[in-house]
Amino acid sequence: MAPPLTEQTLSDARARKPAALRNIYDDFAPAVLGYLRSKGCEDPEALTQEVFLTLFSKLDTLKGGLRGARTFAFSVAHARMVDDARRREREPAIAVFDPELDRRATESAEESVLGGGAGVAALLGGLTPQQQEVLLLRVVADLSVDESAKIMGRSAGAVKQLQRRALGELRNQLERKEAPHNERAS
Amino acid sequence: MSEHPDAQDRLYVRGLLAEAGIEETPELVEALLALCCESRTPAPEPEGKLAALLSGAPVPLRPRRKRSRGIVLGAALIGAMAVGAGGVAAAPDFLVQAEPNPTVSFLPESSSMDRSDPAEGEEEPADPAAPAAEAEPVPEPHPEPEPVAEAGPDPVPVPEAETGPQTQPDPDHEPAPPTDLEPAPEPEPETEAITVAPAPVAKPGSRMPPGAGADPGAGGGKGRGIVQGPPPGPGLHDDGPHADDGTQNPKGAGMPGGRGAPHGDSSRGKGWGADGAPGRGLSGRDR
Repeated sequence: MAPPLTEQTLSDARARKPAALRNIYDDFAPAVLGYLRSKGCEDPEALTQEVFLTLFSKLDTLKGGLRGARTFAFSVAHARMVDDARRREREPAIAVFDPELDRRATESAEESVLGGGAGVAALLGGLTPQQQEVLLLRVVADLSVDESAKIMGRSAGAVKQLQRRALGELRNQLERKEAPHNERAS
Repeated sequence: MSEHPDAQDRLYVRGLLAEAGIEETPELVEALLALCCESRTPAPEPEGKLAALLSGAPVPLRPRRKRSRGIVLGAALIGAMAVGAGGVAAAPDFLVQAEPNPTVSFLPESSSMDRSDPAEGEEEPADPAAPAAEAEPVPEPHPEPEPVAEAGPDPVPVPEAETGPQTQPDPDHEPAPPTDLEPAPEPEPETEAITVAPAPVAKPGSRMPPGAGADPGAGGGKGRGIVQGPPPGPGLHDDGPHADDGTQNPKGAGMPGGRGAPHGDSSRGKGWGADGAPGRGLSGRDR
């Protein structure tokens, strides 16, 4: 278990101390990786490392302490995600078929009965990209409304509205999904 | 359903739902907790440059982009715009539009021809100032006397008797001097007969017949002689109030002998340089 980050850790990281850099990486990297993976990036691990290379090169100019560093890390991750999406739009994707990554499979009977197995992608599938972005930044990245608004380039009110609609849509989806199960059980 | 032992995540999710004003349901909370688990996956092991950086090896981090690119592009853009604007300004269309003005060297000839026209029998206006007014705006193209000069290599002026019958006006219908500024010292027909004749033009370079230059400078450009006689008229100096009158004054038309005229000929307007060429004044273009 990595020690909790402090401002001293950030100062040491600015001094290019490897231990401090490693602590920051261990603390931020899982969320960054989860964010990039949830957005469907092609190689989220490589993008994550690019994000941290950029973050460590800009530590001297960062403001806002640890929260500022976290916000900046997800800003870079957001930019990398957008670049990756644009690149995938330009180039045809050449990928080896992996059955585990093929999401076109239908639910099995057991999964339908148990009600589980729905991944994050399926969970966010019915939301708009903006609503997905808000939920990922708020839940996965653990950012505030203002920080999410800064990354998305929107106002805090717009982010709140997107968040409210995203959660409402998510609840409706879950209710619609539960309704057949209840009918089937009855 | 997987349980989420982390109470902080559960509290966070519930606070999120309360903030958004969404009614909390167990399914929704579980879904959001599953979303939170995405951030709890282990971090990928660093590789390459990042691994070297985390291990303490000196690694040059991402170099900054060269900002000189913008400067170069901006300079190139400004230069291209400057070249375009300069090219438009230097387009020959502007020069073509500015050329319709007649050339100055034609005007002395036109004035002399205008004076010969009424001599051919046309009606002369009673007002003595009228010829001067008519002669001023004449931009009519007259044939250059240069071909005549080329045909006749002899620069000797044609005798007056040869040209007299053709162009000599009737003394009765002699137009009055267009300007009252200078009294005519000599008889009019004699002067006109000389000015009309284009034959004396011997030098191809000289564009005006002898005596045609009303401006004193128009007659002595090539001449080396110095004017010995009295000032021929008001057209002697171009900067005078009647600098243009030299082209309209029949008497002034005889003055261009000016500087190039031999001694004693300047008063008659038969300006000839010392080398025999018709005089051409230095200020011949100064109109």
